[in-house]
Amino acid sequence: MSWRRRLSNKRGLERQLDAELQLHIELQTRDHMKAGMPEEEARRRALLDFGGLEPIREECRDARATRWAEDLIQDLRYGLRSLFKTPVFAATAIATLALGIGATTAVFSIVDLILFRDLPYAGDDRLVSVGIEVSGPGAFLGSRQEFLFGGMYLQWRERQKAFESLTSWSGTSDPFGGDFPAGCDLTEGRPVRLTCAFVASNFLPTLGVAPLLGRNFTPAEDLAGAPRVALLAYRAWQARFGGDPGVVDRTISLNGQPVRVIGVLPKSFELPTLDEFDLLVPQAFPEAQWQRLDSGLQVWAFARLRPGGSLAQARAQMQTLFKEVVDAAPPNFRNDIRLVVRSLRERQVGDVRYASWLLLGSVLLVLLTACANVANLLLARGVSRQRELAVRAALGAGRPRLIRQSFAESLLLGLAGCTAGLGIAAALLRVFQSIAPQGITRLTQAHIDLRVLVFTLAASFAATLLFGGAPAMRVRNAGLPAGSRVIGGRGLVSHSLIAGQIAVSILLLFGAGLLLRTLWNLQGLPLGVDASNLTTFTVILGDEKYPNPVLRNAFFDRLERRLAETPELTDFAISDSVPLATVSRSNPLSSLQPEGRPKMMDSAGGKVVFRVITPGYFSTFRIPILAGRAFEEQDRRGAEVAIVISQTLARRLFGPDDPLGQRIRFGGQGAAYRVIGVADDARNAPVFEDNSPEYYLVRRPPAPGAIPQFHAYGRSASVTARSAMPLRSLTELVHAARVN
Amino acid sequence: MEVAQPDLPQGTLDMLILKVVSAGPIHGYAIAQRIQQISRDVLAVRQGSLYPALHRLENRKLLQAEWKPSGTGRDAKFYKLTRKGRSELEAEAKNWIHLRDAIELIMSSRAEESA
Repeated sequence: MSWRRRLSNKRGLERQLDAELQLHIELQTRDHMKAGMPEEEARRRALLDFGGLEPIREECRDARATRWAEDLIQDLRYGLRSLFKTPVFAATAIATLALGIGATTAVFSIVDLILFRDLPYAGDDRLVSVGIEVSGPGAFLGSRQEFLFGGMYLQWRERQKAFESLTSWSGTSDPFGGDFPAGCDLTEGRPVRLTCAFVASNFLPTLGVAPLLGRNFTPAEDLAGAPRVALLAYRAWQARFGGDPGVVDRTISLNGQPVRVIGVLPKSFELPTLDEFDLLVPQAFPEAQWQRLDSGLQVWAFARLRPGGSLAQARAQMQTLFKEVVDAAPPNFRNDIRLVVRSLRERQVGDVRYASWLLLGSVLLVLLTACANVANLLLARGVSRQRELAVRAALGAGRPRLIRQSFAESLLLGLAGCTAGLGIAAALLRVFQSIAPQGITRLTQAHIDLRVLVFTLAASFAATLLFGGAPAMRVRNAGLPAGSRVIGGRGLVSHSLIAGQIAVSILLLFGAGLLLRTLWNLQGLPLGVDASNLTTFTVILGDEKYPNPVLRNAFFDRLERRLAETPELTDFAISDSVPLATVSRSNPLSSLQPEGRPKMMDSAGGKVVFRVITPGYFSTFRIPILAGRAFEEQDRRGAEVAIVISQTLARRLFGPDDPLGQRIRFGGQGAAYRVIGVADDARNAPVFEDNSPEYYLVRRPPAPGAIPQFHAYGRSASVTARSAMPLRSLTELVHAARVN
Repeated sequence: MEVAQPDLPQGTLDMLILKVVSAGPIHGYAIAQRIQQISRDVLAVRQGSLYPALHRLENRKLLQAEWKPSGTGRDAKFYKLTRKGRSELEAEAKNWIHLRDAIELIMSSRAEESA
């Protein structure tokens, strides 16, 4: 008989057991009568012989394999009844648990992606990131993570023996121009700006990824001048091409050029650096021009370890090649260059690893506190139930049975808490995702799936064991005359519970306090710019309609005039990068050489951010001019180029001397720039990084390198839909634009 | 006039039940009677152990039960051996004979031999 049928047939089984035992007594009675006993006496003897009926029944029930399940159902039913009898208690306990479990689940769903879950590459544990890191004052190079120069990459790719294969990608289409087209504009129908990522032809094979549709790039397609091809990201395929499989082999128009789509990437695919992209395009490096190690673009290199190979081995094997790089570097750099070979996960996660563990740890402490709270509630209620337990014990319920009963109730609370907790987790996750700043590793990917669900169930079960343990311990004293040992038993357990709770709470409070203080400090950090009542507008010019600097300049001239004619704006400015934003143009400090002063630095000296602005920039952002003056219209024409430097830069270049009127040469050649003003420092790095010195140039038409992206700012009395209108109306000017 | 009844060694009750049942379908009371009879009243099985043992054996699929008329006018639960029960009985019987012979050897050895 299957145990389900046995369970459903429980009453029948009980009846059969009774019939069997009754028959035994009857037959015994009959035998006694045969031996000459009177019937009364015979029956009495038979019953006596038999001993207590009930213990035998119990033992027979125990012999049935389904006994535990029968008991469980009974216990759960009983537990449910007693919880319904005390709804306030039940609600409090469930709410407490739900908060703990909900917070734990939400945090786990995020942290799991960062710390534990496999990366979406086959054999992801053998993938490593390879590159050099320039530290110390030499770290002017834009990338904060390890990178290679194109020349290094090309040589290493051919000559390395440490890896199965070495590959690279070289960034997404860059709004600052450079060697790649500024954007990847899909110029079909209504033009859209897409983001292209430039990768080597062995990029996907090295990562262990096969296209969902179509094929990978061939090495021939990765050569300069080859016919252009592209692989579509899954999302772009869905969004732009409606998931039509016929897109493979179709020719689309990118920046007005025909590009053949050769495949679609799987949904799970992501770049190893987690950058967003719409299309993969071959790098097609001009290899012949990149003979020197330090020539070419910055690329991010990734490699696959040989089977059984270790990171340390690979690192050791790369030393010879790395030594060549060090030897070829300028002498003032040599001590600052380091070889980095580390696992892909480590590159992606970096410092976030510690924060993740910390977060997971604290939220588990919260869950622990919740458990302690519920345990205390259960204990408090247990005092009033001591009498009931004593009665049940007296009626023959074994101690294990009473403990099980107590756990069954806890299990119900745990289950309810788990269910409610999942709801809370989903809500919390949505809140995290909407309030968190950009750039938190994988936060947007987090969601509650089967894996998280299993974790939640496990956590809830563990919590049940924890908070259910205390009342179960109390049950051990049940069966004694009611009330006799109650106080002692409860005292010990609950005192240690309360002590633990206070300890954990203090720990959490301290953690939260420190966090708040850091936040407070960051909040109080002077930004140097006043962005209130500012409307910002970003313009990116498409390459098709604005292929050259002359046309771009003409556009931005028109934009400037329109802004000047807008009466709602008290101040306005245009600049090539946004203050506080992570993306800005920079030079090494050592490339700035004040005229008539000794060359002052051995090392690169860190980076200097520069910005191309219009004269209204300082007043628009309320950046004080500390000495000299801001740009004026005349500075946009004269033969001599004017430059405004930040206070920090002034101190670095000229020390205590007056910087005004001094000249600065760039890279020791070309025209000198005359310092006309010193501006107060404005933040040009994220608040948790060091600020860089900065200089400003005024936008001077015609600028040969005019980049296709500018930001416009307008200050008005207050930012309202009406004050934003003049900026919005500029859209008619814009071919491909985004309103930020 | 209570005669002290020797305790059955652990596990032997199951074997005895299997042996008695192997003769053909039989109900609980009759099993107890048979064991007592065959052992010439040396072994009396207490009901407190008999019925749980029967249920355990049934649960292990060594015995199979069936309700049939018992001749008393009421249906009784008759147990019979399953195939699994029969091989279990053979294995246990073999074991038992080994054990008995070994104990016999030790107990019948002369004092000077063991000294």
